[in-house]
Amino acid sequence: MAEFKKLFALGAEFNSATEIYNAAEKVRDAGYTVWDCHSPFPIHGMDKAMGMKKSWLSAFVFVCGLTGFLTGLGLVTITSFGIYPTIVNGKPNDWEHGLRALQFFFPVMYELTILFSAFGAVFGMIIRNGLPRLHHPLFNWSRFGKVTDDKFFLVIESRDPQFSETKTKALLETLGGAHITPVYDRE
Amino acid sequence: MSHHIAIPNSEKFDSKKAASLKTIFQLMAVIGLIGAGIVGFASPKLFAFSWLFAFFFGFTICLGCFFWNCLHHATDSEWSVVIRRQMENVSALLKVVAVLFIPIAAILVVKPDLLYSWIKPHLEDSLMQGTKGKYLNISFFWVRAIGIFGLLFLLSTVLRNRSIAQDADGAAKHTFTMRKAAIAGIPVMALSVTFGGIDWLKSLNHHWYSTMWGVYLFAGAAGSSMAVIILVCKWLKSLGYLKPVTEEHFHTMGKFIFAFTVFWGYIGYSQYMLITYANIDEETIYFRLRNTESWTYLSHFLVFGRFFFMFVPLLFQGVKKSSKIIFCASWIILMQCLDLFMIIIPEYAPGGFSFTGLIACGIAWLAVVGILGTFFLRHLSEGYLFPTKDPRLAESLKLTN
Repeated sequence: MAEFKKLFALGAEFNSATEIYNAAEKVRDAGYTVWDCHSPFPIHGMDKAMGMKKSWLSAFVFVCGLTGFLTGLGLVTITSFGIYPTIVNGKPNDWEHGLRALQFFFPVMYELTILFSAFGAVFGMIIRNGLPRLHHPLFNWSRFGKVTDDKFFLVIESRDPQFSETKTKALLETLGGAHITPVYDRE
Repeated sequence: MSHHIAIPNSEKFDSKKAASLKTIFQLMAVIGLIGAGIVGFASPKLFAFSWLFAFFFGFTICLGCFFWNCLHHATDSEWSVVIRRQMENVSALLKVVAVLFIPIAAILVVKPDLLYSWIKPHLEDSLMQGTKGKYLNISFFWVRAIGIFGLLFLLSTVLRNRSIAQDADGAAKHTFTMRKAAIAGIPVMALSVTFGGIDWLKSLNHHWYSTMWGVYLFAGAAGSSMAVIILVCKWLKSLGYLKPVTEEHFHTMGKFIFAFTVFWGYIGYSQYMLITYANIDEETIYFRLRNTESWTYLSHFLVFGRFFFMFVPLLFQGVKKSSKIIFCASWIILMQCLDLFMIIIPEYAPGGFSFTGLIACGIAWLAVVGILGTFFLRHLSEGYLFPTKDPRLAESLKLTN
């Protein structure tokens, strides 16, 4: 049995979405960066209350989409125009006459653009969220199970440069959090 | 959440602020009408084609706004409440568009075969002797035109009047009436753009047929009319109105013009590819005309200008949220003009690009846009600038993307 000794975070429990929303704004203003809010349902405007920036996922999807488009373009031009020139709709297809029939290959480029950007969106999201993982230190906190029922949790991790066991605890107390608990992780 | 949103004060348009724009619109209308008159004396045929172009441009813009207005009610949208009045103001111009159809109707009465060769009896034309003649005949043509304008006038007027009536009493019953009218309005819109498109544009060459025609015109109409809404909202904001409209609303509207840019490309490509692959004479005749001579350059430019050129910039949030969207919206409207130009004018000048055709279209466009703009300014000052007592106004203000 592994020992759970390393301090992972300080957690506080809130009773309503309004409470945790107001608390999040204060934690944001206090300058914390590595912290999170957990709630049974999505809370509108929470990203702003937490001071979260725009996700970089869209840029990743754009790059993936561009890669897909260029892959499709390369696939059709190299095979059907370069290696083995084909005649489509009576139009000559080689580099000399120009790519007269490129438009008929457009579905390939289009589908690959979509496929690659969908892959980028799904896998980028999974990577960004650090998934898949089998366990999370917060599960060591018995009260945390109520996050799927009717409680709201604000957790400030010890990785945060501003983190101090006493000061952070005091902050969470002033914000009105109940059951402020240190959560431990494996060494 | 948790922040109370104050209901903003109602805004009333002060027509003095738009005095210069009103003069510009009136000047455009006068110059355009005089110019169109000169064109008409010089070449009635050129006038007929150029007026058809300008009329159909106005028709697609107003019909597109009518579509957005109906979509808002039919889907119980919240986000679009603050900008809905502008959709109503534009779509209520459909009655003016119906009046702008009169010159075409007059031409069809005086010189029937100037625009549409199917009007003349075709004894040697086996197609017209068959089932096609049962649809394409002048009396049924009038019935359809009257039906289209009548239904559109009725529904767009009901939607706007009810919305303005709600400004006074704030009763929810108006919302229910508008919802019913809007749900009826969506099929009416679809049938109008399909039958209008077939009757007025496709029958310029009655041998040609395409099953994508209605949806192709709809894609262009919906995208360019949303672009018009964006320009109207940006202009009103620059005058200090529409304070509750935020960058989030422009972001959403930007998403819609992006969506319809892609949809236009998708439908246009599908039409092209199905026709070229099947390679049937009656179908390919459309592209044979537009992909030969000097028309081919404009056809290619349309593909790049309407789709590719707008695709990449509209991907970015920054473009949709900033004033760069003004350029994108203007460009899309310009490309809608080019699209309609490429549909109509090659039938007038099959030999290649016609400069006189372009000038005549520009003159007719000035007349139509000037007239519609003048009436739009009148609509603006008739009611509030957004539905002040709509039950969903507060939800609309909270919009986040």
